[in-house]
This record gives sequence, C-alpha cells and structure tokens, in this order.
Amino acid sequence: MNALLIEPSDFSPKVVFDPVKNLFEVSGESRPENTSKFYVPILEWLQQYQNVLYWEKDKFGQSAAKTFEFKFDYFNSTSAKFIMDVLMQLDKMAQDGFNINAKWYYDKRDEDMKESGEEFSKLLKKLPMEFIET
Amino acid sequence: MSKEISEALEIHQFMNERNVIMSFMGELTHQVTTSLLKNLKEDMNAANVDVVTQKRLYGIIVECLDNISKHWIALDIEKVLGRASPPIFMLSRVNNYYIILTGNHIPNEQIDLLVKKIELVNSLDKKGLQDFYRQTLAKESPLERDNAGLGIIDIALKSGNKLEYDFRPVTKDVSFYVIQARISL
Repeated sequence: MNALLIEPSDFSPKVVFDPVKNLFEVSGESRPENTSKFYVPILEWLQQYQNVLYWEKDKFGQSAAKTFEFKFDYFNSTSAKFIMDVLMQLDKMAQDGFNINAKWYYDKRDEDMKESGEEFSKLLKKLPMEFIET
Repeated sequence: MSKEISEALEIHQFMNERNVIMSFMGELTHQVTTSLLKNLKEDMNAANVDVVTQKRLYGIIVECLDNISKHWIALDIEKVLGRASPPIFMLSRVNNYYIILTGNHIPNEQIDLLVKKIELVNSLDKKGLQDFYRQTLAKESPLERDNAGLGIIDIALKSGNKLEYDFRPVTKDVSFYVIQARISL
C-alpha cells in the first residue's frame, strides 16, 4: 500500500503514514482552512490500511506492532473532532486485535497539550496511549 | 486638519489609552488570520510571554477568528444592511490581563442558543469544562455543520476566566455580537 505523505504548512500538520518504513506520524499545527478536506483523505487512507491489515492477518498472521505518533504544536477545536476520529479508527483496529498503539508528545511547558491528549484517551476503549514529554 | 484626520487621531488615541496591541477590522479570511497569527507569535516571543500563556492566547484567538469567519460566510451582511460592516478583532493588555475581543453580526434567531452556550460554560469550573469538552467531542460528528459548541468550551478552558458578551440590535433580524475573553498574566 502506498504511503500517505502530506507536507506541512503554516496551518496544517505534516503527515507521514508509511507502512513500508513502519512509520506513522502527524506533527505540527492544525487549523486548516477546510478541516474536512484535510482530514477526510487521512481517514480514508486509514480505512484502506485497516483492510490491508485484515488481509495480511488472514494470510500471514499477526503483523509487527505499529505506533502512531502525534506531535502537535497546536490544533483548533474543529481539528480536535477529526483527530478524535483518527484515534477512534485506530482504537477500532486495536479492538479488532491488531497490535497498534499511540504516542502523544507534548512540550513539557505545555500542560494543556498533555491534558488534551488525556481527554482523547479517556474516550478510547482499547488503544494504548503513551504520553511523552519533550 | 481634515475631519477624517482628526477622527483618525482620536481613534488612535482611544486605542493607545486602552493598551491595544493589535486590532483588525475587515474580512477575516484564512489568509488574513494566518498573517495576524504570525505577527502575534513574533510579538509574544519578543515580549517574552511564557509559553503556556502564549499558547492559550493563540488558541483563543484562533477560535474567536474561526467563529467570525463562520458567521461571515453564513451571513451576507452587506446585503442585509445595504452597506459594508465588517467584523472586528482586538487584542489589548490591561493591568494583569490579555483581553481578546471580537465583534460581528449574527442573525437574531441564533442569539438564544449562543447565550445558553456561553452561560453554560461560564457556570462550569475547569473540571466541569473538561468533562463537557469530552462529552461534546464524543457526541459531535465532525461533518455536522453546527460545531460551535467545542470552540466556546475551548475558549473558556484556555481563558480560565468568565466570558463576557453583549448583543446590540442593528435591525429586526440582525444584531452585533461582541464576545470578550481574558487571560490572566
């Protein structure tokens, strides 16, 4: 499956979802002009990736662990709902037995970013979420 | 001195006396917002504002400007009033507070709901706001059009102070809505 690569801008994050390198990372600032236009392709990519994982599991058994890393400087409230959707999708994969986890990075001076991640994690059923101070 | 120059000087003096750091009146496109935010970041870095306050201030301003844009898109005010009347954004520093103030026209039919939302967030403490934020996050679909709830909660959380607001009737259908958030320094 092709990697999803989105270059960052002053108002949208960098996205690297690369199954070959086993690298999954979202970083930067998120307040896109059209939030839905930015996040829907990410959610669609994840849906496809989930299908691939099902197929692989069926054929070859459980695949290697996958860590999705979130390194936000800032996100607005409209983005928050889409980030929640991304996490929900990952949570669904974890609930289906895939070895998936999330890492939430935050600047040690930015307690609000840590708390935002904690609020997200309270809504997840299975996805393990680790908080990492930078 | 022309009347216009004299008035401009009065406006400048008025703003200066109120410690206005930044103000903008006009159509707040995403591009304008981005440019204002860039200036703001630079100003705050230069003023050695601590990171938490910087980020909270930044977050509140983004939400306020996003709200203005939404109302601006939804309401063709020039058509309603027969003249241009763009929104306003103002950032000032008074005593131990940063004050963020925005003003824009909204349809009168939206006022009741907006007042309910603001009064609700004003009635909650930090824990209550976090719970409400999480409930709203879980409930709302990102594709729903009305997503004003989360923005107001976010502003209240970052502000740490009660939000102040007013509605000034302009026509029988439209009012000018002003909302003010404060951050303690």
